[in-house]
Amino acid sequence: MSITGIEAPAVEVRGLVRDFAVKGGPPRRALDDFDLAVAPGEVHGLLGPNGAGKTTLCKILSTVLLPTAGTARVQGLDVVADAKRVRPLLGIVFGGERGLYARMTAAQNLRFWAALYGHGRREGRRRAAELLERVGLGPRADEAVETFSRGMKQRLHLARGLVGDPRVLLLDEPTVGMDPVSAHEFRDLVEDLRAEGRAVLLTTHDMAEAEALCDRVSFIDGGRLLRCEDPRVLGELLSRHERVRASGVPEALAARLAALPGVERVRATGPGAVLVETDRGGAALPVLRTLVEAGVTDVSTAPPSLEEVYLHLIGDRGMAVRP
Amino acid sequence: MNAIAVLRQTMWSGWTDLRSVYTPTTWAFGWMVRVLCQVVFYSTLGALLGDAERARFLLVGAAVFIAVNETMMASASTTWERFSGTLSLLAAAPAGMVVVLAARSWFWVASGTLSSSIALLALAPFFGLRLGLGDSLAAVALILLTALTNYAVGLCCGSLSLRFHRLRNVFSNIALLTMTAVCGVMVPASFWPAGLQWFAAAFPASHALEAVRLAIADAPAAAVLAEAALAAGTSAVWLALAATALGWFQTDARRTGSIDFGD
Ligand SMILES: Nc1ncnc2c1ncn2[C@@H]1O[C@H](COP(=O)(O)OP(=O)(O)OP(=O)(O)O)[C@@H](O)[C@H]1O
Ligand SMILES: [Mg+2]
Repeated sequence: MSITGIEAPAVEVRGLVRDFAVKGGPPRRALDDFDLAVAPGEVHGLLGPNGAGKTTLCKILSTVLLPTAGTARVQGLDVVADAKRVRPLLGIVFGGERGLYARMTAAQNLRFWAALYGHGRREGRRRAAELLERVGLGPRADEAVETFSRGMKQRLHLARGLVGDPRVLLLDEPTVGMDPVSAHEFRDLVEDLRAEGRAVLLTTHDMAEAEALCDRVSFIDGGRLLRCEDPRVLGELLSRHERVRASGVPEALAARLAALPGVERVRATGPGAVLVETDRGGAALPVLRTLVEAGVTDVSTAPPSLEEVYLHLIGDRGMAVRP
Repeated sequence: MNAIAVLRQTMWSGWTDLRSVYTPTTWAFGWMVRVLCQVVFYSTLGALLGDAERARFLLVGAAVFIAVNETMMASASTTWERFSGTLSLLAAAPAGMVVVLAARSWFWVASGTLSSSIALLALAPFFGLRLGLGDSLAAVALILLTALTNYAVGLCCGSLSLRFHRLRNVFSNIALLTMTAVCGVMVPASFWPAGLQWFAAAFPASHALEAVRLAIADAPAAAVLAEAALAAGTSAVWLALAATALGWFQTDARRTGSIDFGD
């Protein structure tokens, strides 16, 4: 909280730089003059390709990594100077199967972390039971984590991140390894967190997930913030640049596809295989129709890749997103 | 921080680690049999090479050293935290990692005290060492002291192993070999030159083992207690070193980024 009584941003990052030493070379800049603000109760997506600097940002916010320059604050507290006061405010969840005590049960894991977040025995037990129910692991509470599937471990991770009752959640690719049903439940859970007034910084490669969940989305690449957008922009880009993949397409047919309105280009991806890229909403439909009428049956549609959306994002409105 | 809750939960996590190392059966018929064989081997060697006195010296040394051996495993189990991927989460947790790492390997103290005591008490009659009830109780209490005080040495090696991950097996092995040589286990400490004796005195095991020998030899209680106090005192220094090394590791990791999510 600030002195004026206005709640400080849940996360506020200014001019953040992080360099890593590289053996026998110049340092690698993982974050480059990065700015970000997340309001209390906001679900903020951080979208970027591999190596963009997402995890580096999460590590700095979670106080396990020092910035090279710039500042990062959590609810107004500096993550370097006030690290001790920042830690209780945060919940950390990262993807994958690690970070759990495999031989302990799900409930024991949560009770362990409840204690580390300052809760006594009784409160720890209560929280563990409640959170296990919440993430759908109630029936497996007393089984060793090593017997869990990937998605189940991921759910337990989420519960672990919530055990300290955090005001700010850092979710670094939390849905890696989840099946679509779990991913859907995850979305509901994030909605609940938002309703409870918690801020969420959600790192992901999954544009559909970001679009569905986030109040705002920041695009990061090469450690720099490309732009911060309303997720609707993302949704629009996703449908506008839908792609059609087909195989068994003769050259003449490919040429006809290329001439259809809204088709940006037709790329050959193998013998007889093509990838049709569109740049207008609804343009995929005539492409599909043409293919099916020509007797091509191996046809599928897909959203554009993150890289393509990037190109369009930058290309559509000019390169100068950020000085 | 709710230190009691942290301790309780950490000890519980250590207990599950112990159960993954041993089942009661493998402890009794794997580990314990190995311990007994080892102690019999050294004691017999003493009987063959020297006299009954030498055999008893080696018996006590080898048996008590089991407690030292096992508590040095705290070094390895400290690094298990990295293997489970919880190190970054501990570093980011309000309670921090000091208490957790200090307490998580407690089970080696328990197992070490138990196996060492069984070896000494069970084998003593075979090598002509007569221990009355009082002697036996004193020996067990002092073996517990040996395990507890050497645990600090194990923790110190563990902290260094976290910092120098690639050398993680080196520290405890070097420490163990050094202690075997100089702490009066196989050869009396007085065998070594004065400088080396001073060096040996830095290890709690030297004093704790001497305390056991004195107690068994019915030395005055004051002499036994003096050695016990020296063991506790040197152990406190090692504990401080362990905490310092851990702080060093954390500062360094925050600076270089050597703790990753999932580490
Ligand atoms: N400890 C480290 N030492 C050296 N370089 C590092 C270290 N950690 C990260 N980097 C580098 O910093 C850059 C950003 O990495 P980061 O893990 O933040 O990316 P990311 O956006 O999380 O990627 P991903 O989507 O693959 O998880 C990468 O080039 C990476 O190689
Ligand atoms: Mg990452």
